[in-house]
Parts: sequence; C-alpha cells; structure tokens
Amino acid sequence: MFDYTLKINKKASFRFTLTRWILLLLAVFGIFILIYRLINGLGATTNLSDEWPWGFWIYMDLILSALGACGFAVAILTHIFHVEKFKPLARRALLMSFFCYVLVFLILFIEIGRWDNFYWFFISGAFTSPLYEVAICITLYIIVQVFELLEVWGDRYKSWVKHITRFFLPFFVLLACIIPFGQEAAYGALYLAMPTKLNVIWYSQFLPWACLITSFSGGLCFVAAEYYVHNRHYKKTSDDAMIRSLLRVAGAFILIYIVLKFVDLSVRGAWTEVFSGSASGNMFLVEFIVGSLVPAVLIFSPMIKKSMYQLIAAGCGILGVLINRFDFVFVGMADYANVSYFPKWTEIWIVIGLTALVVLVYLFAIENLPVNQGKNDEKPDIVSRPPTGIIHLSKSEQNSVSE
Amino acid sequence: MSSNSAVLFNVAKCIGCGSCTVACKLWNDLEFGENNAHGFDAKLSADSWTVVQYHTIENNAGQNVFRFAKRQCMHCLEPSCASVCFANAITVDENGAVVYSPKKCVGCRYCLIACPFDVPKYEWNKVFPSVMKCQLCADKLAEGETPSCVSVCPTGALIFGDRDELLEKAHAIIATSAATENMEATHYVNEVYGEKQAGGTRWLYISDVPFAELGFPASVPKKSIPGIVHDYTKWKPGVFLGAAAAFSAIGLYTKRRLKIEEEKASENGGENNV
Amino acid sequence: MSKGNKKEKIDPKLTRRQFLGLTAAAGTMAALTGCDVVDKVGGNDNWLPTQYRNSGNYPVNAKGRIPIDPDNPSIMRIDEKCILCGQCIEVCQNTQTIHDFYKLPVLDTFMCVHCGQCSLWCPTGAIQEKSYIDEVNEAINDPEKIVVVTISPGVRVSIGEEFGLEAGTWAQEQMVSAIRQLGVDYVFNIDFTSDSTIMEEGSELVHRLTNDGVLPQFTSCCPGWVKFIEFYYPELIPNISSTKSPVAQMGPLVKTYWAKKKGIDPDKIVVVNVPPCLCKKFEAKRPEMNGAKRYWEENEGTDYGNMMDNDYVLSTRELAKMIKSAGIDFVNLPDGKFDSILSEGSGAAVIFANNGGVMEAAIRSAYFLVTGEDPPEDLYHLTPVRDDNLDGYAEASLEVPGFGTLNVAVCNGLHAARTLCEEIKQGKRANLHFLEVMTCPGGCIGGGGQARETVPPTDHVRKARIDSIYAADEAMEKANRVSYKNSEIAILYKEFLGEPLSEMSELLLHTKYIDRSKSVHPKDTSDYVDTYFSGLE
Repeated sequence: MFDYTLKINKKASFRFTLTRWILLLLAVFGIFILIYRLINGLGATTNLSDEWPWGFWIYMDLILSALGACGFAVAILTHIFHVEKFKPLARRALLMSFFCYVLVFLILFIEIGRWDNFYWFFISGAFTSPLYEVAICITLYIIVQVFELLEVWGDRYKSWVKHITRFFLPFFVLLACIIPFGQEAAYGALYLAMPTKLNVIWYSQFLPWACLITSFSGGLCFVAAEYYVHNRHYKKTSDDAMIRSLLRVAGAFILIYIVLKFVDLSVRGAWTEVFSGSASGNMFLVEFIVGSLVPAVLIFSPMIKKSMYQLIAAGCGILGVLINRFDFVFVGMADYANVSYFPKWTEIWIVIGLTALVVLVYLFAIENLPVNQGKNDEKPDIVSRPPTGIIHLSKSEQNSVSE
Repeated sequence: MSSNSAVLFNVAKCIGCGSCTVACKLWNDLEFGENNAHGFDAKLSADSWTVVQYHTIENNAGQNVFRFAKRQCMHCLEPSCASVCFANAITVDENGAVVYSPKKCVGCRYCLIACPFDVPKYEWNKVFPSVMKCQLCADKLAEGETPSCVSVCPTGALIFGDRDELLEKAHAIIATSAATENMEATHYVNEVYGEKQAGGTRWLYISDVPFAELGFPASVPKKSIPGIVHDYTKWKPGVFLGAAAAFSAIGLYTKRRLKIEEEKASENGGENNV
Repeated sequence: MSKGNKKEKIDPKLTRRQFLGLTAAAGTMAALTGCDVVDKVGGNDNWLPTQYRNSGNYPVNAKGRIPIDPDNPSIMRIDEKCILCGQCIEVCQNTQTIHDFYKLPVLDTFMCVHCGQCSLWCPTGAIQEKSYIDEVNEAINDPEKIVVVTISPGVRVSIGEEFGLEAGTWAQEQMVSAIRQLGVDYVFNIDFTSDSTIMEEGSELVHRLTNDGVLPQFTSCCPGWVKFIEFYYPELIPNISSTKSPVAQMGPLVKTYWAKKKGIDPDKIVVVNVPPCLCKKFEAKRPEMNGAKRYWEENEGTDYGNMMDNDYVLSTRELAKMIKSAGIDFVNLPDGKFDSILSEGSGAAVIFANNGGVMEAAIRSAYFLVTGEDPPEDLYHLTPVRDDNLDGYAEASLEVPGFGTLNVAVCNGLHAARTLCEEIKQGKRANLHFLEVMTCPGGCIGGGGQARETVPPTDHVRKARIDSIYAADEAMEKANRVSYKNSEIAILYKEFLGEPLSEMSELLLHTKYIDRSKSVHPKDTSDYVDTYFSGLE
C-alpha cells in the first residue's frame, strides 16, 4: 500500500517501495538531527573530547573515501588502460564514487566545528597540511565528477550538453584519474603527524601509500559487490567472467599491499608488537588475515569461478579496508588517548540519515540515467513488481492519478 | 624585542603558587571554572591555557618531595599544529609566538590531535568553538613586555629572553650543578627539555628530577613533525606529474593498440568482436 | 500634572526594552557582517596589575603570591578573586619571614605556619579561612551529638566589629547569647584553660629555673610560633614549654574530666573551638592532639578510634557568619553566661589575648609559686611588656625574692622572633629566662581569624582591642586576677589532675613537638642578629 511510482516527466520517474519510504524517513530524521547539531554545536551532539578530537565522523570520511576510490580505479582501467571488458562498469562506478564523495563532503561539513567558516580553507593555501590536500582534492574531484556526470545526463536528456562535455572529456578523465592519488594517500598522511600517538604497527612513512593501495583494492571490490547486489535487486543475470577479471586486478593490489606491508613491518621491526597480544596487535592480525590474506587466497584459487566465492572475496576486500581504517583511527590511537570513546547516538544517526538520503538519490540516478552499458543491461533498472499507484508530477498528466 | 623569544622554566625554583595560571586568566580574560589551574589533577583545558601540575617525586636523597611542572603551549620552532592546519589559522608571528586566528579557523581539530604535547584544547560546548591554547601573550610581546606568566613569577623560576642566550644559561646551570660535589645542592638532569624535542621549542625546561616523572612526553621525536610529514609530501608533485605523464602515454598507447586490433578484426571481416 | 511629567520622563531616554531591542539588532547585524569578531581567542578584557606591564625584563618588587597547599587545614584561596597584588607575599615575607626564607627547590611541604595574616591582608578576600561551618551546623542539628563551644579571650573584643560595633568593643555577653541561640548545648570559656596553662607553664618555668633546665623557656600557646620553631630552629625545640595551648587543653578536659562528671559518652561530644586564630585549625589536626583518646585507652580500656581532642575550629569571622546566617540581632542580645565548671577565668587569663599577656599572667603565678606570696602591685601592670609592644619586642627584669633577677621578654611577629632565635642560637641572650612569642602582630587580638576591620590590619585597631582586654583585667577584683586563685582550677586539680606536672597533667595538658627541619632548607639568616632591635639593647 506504500508502493507508489512518482512520475516526474516522460523520461524520469521514481518508484517508492516500502524500503524506500523507510529510507526517506531515516533521511528526514537524520536531517533534523543534523540541523540540531548545527545549532547546538559539537559538545551537545557528539562524545568527542580533547582526548578524542576525531571520532566516528572522521572514520566515516576515511572509509567512504576509500570505497569512493572505485570510480577512479575503474576509470584508470577503462580510460587509461582501455580494458574494454570493464567498460560496462565505468559509469556505474563513477556514480557510486560520486555519491561516496558527496557523502564525505557532507560529513566533513558537519564534522568541522566552525561550519560558518567552511569556505576558508579554499583560500588558505595551507600546502603543508595533509588535510588541506584531502579537502582540495575532494573538492576538485567532485567538480570533475560533476562534469563527467553531465556527459551521462546529457546522453539521455540534453544532447548539446553531451556534445560539449564529450569534447572536453579526455582532459577531465585524465584529471579524474590523477586527483584521487592526492586524497587517498593523504588520508594516511593525516596520521603521519602523530608519531607519538599512533601505534607502531601502522605508523610509518608507508601509511599513506598503504592507504592508496588498499583504496584501489577496496574500491574494486566495492564495484564487484555492488554489481552483484544490483543485479539481484533488479533480477538481472551477472557477467561472472568480468567480475572475476575485476577481482583479479583487485587481488593484484592486495598482493602488492601484503608484500609491502610485510617489508614495512620487518624493516621497522614491528612484528613483536603484532604478536604481543595487545589490542592493536590482535586487530592488525584480524585486519591482515580477513582483509588481505583471505581475499588474496580466494581470488587466486579456482574457487573464484563460483559467484558465491566472488561475493565473499569482494566482501572480505571491503571489510579489510573498513577494519584497516578502524584500526588506525581508533585502535592504534586508543593507548595514547587512555580515555574511552564511543560515538553518541546523534553522531551515528546523522550518518545513517545522510547515507539513507544519498542511497535514495543514488537509486533515483541509477534508474533514470544511462549508466548501465553491459550486455545484460538493455533492460532498464526497474523494480519488477507492479506499483500500487502512480503519482504524476508534470502538469500535462496531472489529472490522471490512478489507484 | 628579539624575534627569537623564549622562556626558560627552572623546575627546581617553582614553589607551586600558581601565580602564572592566574596571570594567564587575567590577561586573556578566561573563565576560572571549577577546576583549579594548579594542583595534583590540573589539566590544560579551553579555559586554562597554562597549568601548574603538582607531583610528588622521590629526589636524589630518597625523600618524596613536591615538584611543580608548569605546562602550556611549548611554542615549537616548527609547530606541528600550524603545519597541519588546513586553513592556516595557526601561524608563527614575528616574535616566534604560535598564534591562532579564530576568524580563519574551520574547526577541523587536526591541531588537537597533531600536537605532540597535547596542548590545544577545544571549546566543545560552544556552537562556534575556538581552539584554545597559550598565545605566548603575543599582544604583550608586541608591546615589548614579557608574557604574563613570566612577569608575575615571584621566585624567578621563569625567565624570558633570547632563545640562544637562554639555552646557554640553561647549560651553564646544569654544568655548574654537575661540577658541585655538595650532595645537598641541587643536581640538574643533563637535559634541556625543549632544546631538541619536536625540532626545538621556545619553552625550555631544566629540572632536578627526570622529565618523564613530571609528565612530560618522553617519546617526542627530535625531528620536527612538519619535517616528518614533509618526507611524505615531498613526493606528491612527482606522483601527480608522473601519473599524469604515465597515464597520458599509456592511454594513448592502449587506445592505438585497441584501434589496430579493431582494424585487424574488421580486416578479417569478423563480426565477432567483444 | 501627571501628563507633563510622564512626557518628560519617557521622551529623552530609551526604555529598557527599547534599548535591549536595539542592542540585539545591532548585535545581530554585527554578527552577520562579521564585525564583532575580534581575531583572537580569550576575552577582550586584558588586564594585569600595572607593575606587570613593564617593557622588558625590569625587576618588580611586589610580585606574585604565596603558595598555598590545597590540603592546608587553615587557609584556602579562591583563584578567581586573586589579583596578584602581592600583599600576601608582603606580610608572609616581611612580617613573618616565612615566604622566601627557605632554599629552593622545595622539599615535601608548602611552607606555612598557618598564622592566617595573609587572609587579613588580602584586599579581595581571595585568601580565606578554610571553613568548617557546614560540619559544625551538621553537628548542631544532630540530636545525638552534644556540641560544646569554647571561646578564646581574643574573640570577644573583635566579634562586635563584625556587627558594626567600634573596634575593640567588649562583646562577651552578646556572643555567648548568640551562640546559645545557634542551638549549641554548652558554651565554655578558654579563660579556664588559660589559667590551667599558667599553672602548668608557670610550674614548668619554676622547675626549669630551679633544676638548671633549658633556658630561656619559650611559651607554647601560639601554634604558629611552635611550627616556626619546628621548621626553622629544631635545635630550640627543648626551649619550648611542653604545655599545650589553652585551646588544645580544653578538648581533652571536656572529653575526660567533664564527660565523666556529666556521665556523657565522649564520642558524642563535639568540641568546637572559636579562637581568633587560624593556626588552631592546624593544631587541632596534629596527630598527637588526642590525649583524651589515650586517657580512655590507658585508664578505662575504652577505644575511641580516631577521636581527636578538638573536633572543629571556627575563626571569629566564621562564628560571626553563622550568627548572621541565623538572623540573630547580635547587638541587642541579652547578656549570656558561660556554663560552669570549665569557664571560670582570672584576669590573668583574659590578657592572654594580648602579646605580653601570657608573660604577665605567668609571672603573677610564678611569683607565687616561687615565693608563696601574692605578687606585688606592679606585677598587675607589667608596664615594660605592655607599652609599645606593637613594635615587636619588649623586655623586663624583675626581682623575685628567693630567686634573684628574672629576665623576661615578649615579642610578636615572626620577623622579631627569627632575630631573637638567631641571637639565642649565637649565645647572645644567655641571661634571658622566659620568652613569650606571638606569631601575629599584637598577639591573639590581631589573629588571622579576627574580623577584617581594616585591610590590611592597622595598629589603631590592634591598640583598641589591646586596651579593651587590659581594661577587662583591671576591672576585676585583685583576687580574681591571678590564675592560682581560680576556684574551678583548684577543684580540677583536686578532683582530677592532682597537681601541676603530674602524670595526668602530662597526659592531657602537655605535648611533644616534631622536628620538621627535613621539610625545609632554611636560608641562612645568621646576620639577622641585632638588626631588628638595635635600639633596644
């Protein structure tokens, strides 16, 4: 009974199923709390303290940015290395990445204490700060992505936009493949400024590069997993061979990471800390086994032919990134802080609300933009059940509201 | 006034009166709040830019004695907070004071987490909070005066002056105490805390008890933290340019190869492309 | 008429509401345009006393403040009120020679003799007595507890000042009434234990004189002076009379002699002393001040745990505060009387409050103890130690039949005391037999717990209080002006103590002193000799 299709015009419509109503509810709730946070400040809405100045929101920024690397990783494969078989994924990865970064930006906005001053960093020119690198690169990257998405939008809705954007596209694609090198590595570099605070397992000059490499693998795994979930949701058949090749690329990056991290730990003699039985050591083992060794073994074994193992491998790849970021944002810093931190419910619900909002917009975009270019994608992305009703928004069809 | 300003704090001369903490609050118009800025559990906070921490420490003679550690911003020569601030809100002024400008601050709190001495504190309960820390009374320095805390110290535990001269003085005090054979006399630890820590700081400490027991972080690297971050940042232009060049070349090459393959395929008359 | 008036009133001024509205609007505009933001943190009210606003590193004499131990039982400081004027250092360093008279680094103590003069000098009231009003009120409101308040002689000439009476006004009767109205069960007079102090201390002096004991004997009524000796001159500890101060004697007598007589469980008695002194708060907490507990343990086999002789000590100011909080019209109160058997006091006891008073009182009785006769007329007005003793030092010589010349001296303020100690250490005062030292200028009437009649305290006020005390002594009958004729004291010795310096007296009325020299490296002040009283030699 909640199942309505919202008809915006002839080409665009959005189907509200029960799940999506709930997402909308969450989004509205989250936005209310967000406004509450903006009015009342950080102390009233977070459990952050002088001991834990960075918490859940920064962590969300880190993992969303890592997953958002999917757009850039696939773009390099398709547009730089011209691997034609990954072409069907390019626009979808771009869209996913775009929404990840939009979410990062929104969370960054609520995360900063003086949001009235948020514009200042654009003109500050603080080139020594890794955070400046992150902020500037994300801003530039989002602008580039908007431009790329204009091309996708023009493809369906306005052909002159498509023609103009296509002309400049190669330049923007090149930018889109370079800029993320900045932020992905700089996220790790943020923690280079804390030599006395971050646990020795993670603290090294290798940290930024580790972040860069794992963002590649994590992003590719994210594309693979999304591809899977997406096809199930819209009841479409999947191209297992393509995903297998994609995961092989991700696996290659995981292998590189394993080797480099091994060398890094050995050179600095940090293995004793790993096996010391401390929280940090144990969490690193979890991160390393679940996030790196398991997917690497799965991907390079014959099991990967089965779609279920592909999903597991992709899931582990994503999990690896999540745990890795969790480890150096929280676990590795906990010993120094010596005070416990758990996010306040408002911190969590703002993120849930914003995520729900972004997921809704993503669903709208994926159902109304020509982003699917695979051979199974002639069929548009539509929820297969018939809706209970249709609501027309354009004036010409306003009178015909059916039950 | 010297642009190389510095303060030497002689732990052995501090009597724990807390005058400096009051002077700081008077001059900077800070709230006094419930927690004393001096005492056994005194901690730096948004309202206490300097605190005097009381410690009970065993001295050379095996007696448990009071020692007082005045804590405040160390005013690093190469401040981590200023280098990581992504809005350039923290800068080093012409007298060497590390000062903060709330107008520019975005509120990312990177300075809080990046400070090796855990100095900057945040006004968590304000809607538009500021980062709060000692400014070395930059406005007083600009008028040729000494920082508030130094000006009120009744025992001369705090001395303001040129950093090089103060270092010389500190080492002289340490050398004199090392040379004396009188066991009753004060024997200083052979280290000037702040001379090398984090690349050198404008607050220098000498003490007759180990600094670690006074709560000073012992593991602060000798290299400045901006220097450590720069070890990474310096690669960045190369990475960007290298990636741009490599991607352009690879892109052009793979595109050309793709074209040739397509041509070959059409020459073969094959319809079965990918 | 009313119309014209109204118009005149409203037109030229803004109403408060209009003003607030405008301010809010201006504030909002300023906030929106960013005009109000000064680009610095902290408030805008930058202020420090002018002496700290010199260019460069010029020396400043009035600088900083004294350190106060957070656990100091006598005084505390509210930082928010401190303006770093340097007055506490002025009195602590120059009058009392405590601050800056020890070598740095510090050892295991915050140097303080708890005299509380700083709390009288502090212009903003930042330094205050550590208040025990809440605890005392709790005890008063507890039906199980029997609250006994004991009042020292000095309080009655100062407490009136808190209620607008002239400095030095004698207000004993109103004070006792007021305390009864507070709900206190018994009010005793420290004059009583002052007389027992004289009996003990006088006997001790005679004992030292006749048995080649350590001389000169120092009075021990002033706990600040005692702690000063313990810190700076531990080698002079044997000179201090082992007799407890009058306040410290009252607690054990109440919890043994009186409790037994009344049949009250000593554990239920709460002894609240009201001296003019802040150091008594410290003295009451000295661990050895538990004679009553030891008495019950040794003689009756009863263990009263951590029972101390005196439970709480209130200063004159705190007592006045309690009276004010209770809304009592102090000035117009009817005359109140002390409860009997621990309250009778001689004139000699009253003058304990003045510097020189202990000496005069002791001499009157010592004369009797040595000769067995009543003292001659001039011992009822020992002029040499009365006049000008606000200068810090006075001495007298008197002929005692059967003994010879007795040389006595009185001094107040620890600067004078320090000079005297240096001289004694260097053998320059070998002829001195008896020395009274009061830490506070003028003696107890100028105590750190007294009313803040002027800030800082002046000799004008001290003189008024001193005169009031001496007048009270003079007004008494001659027979009542010597301690040995105190009838309640006679009964006390007959029924309970036996005689002065008996075993029971030693247990309850005498004490031991602690060598505190491990807590301080004193500065060398051996050159202080002759500097203070060069004109007096």
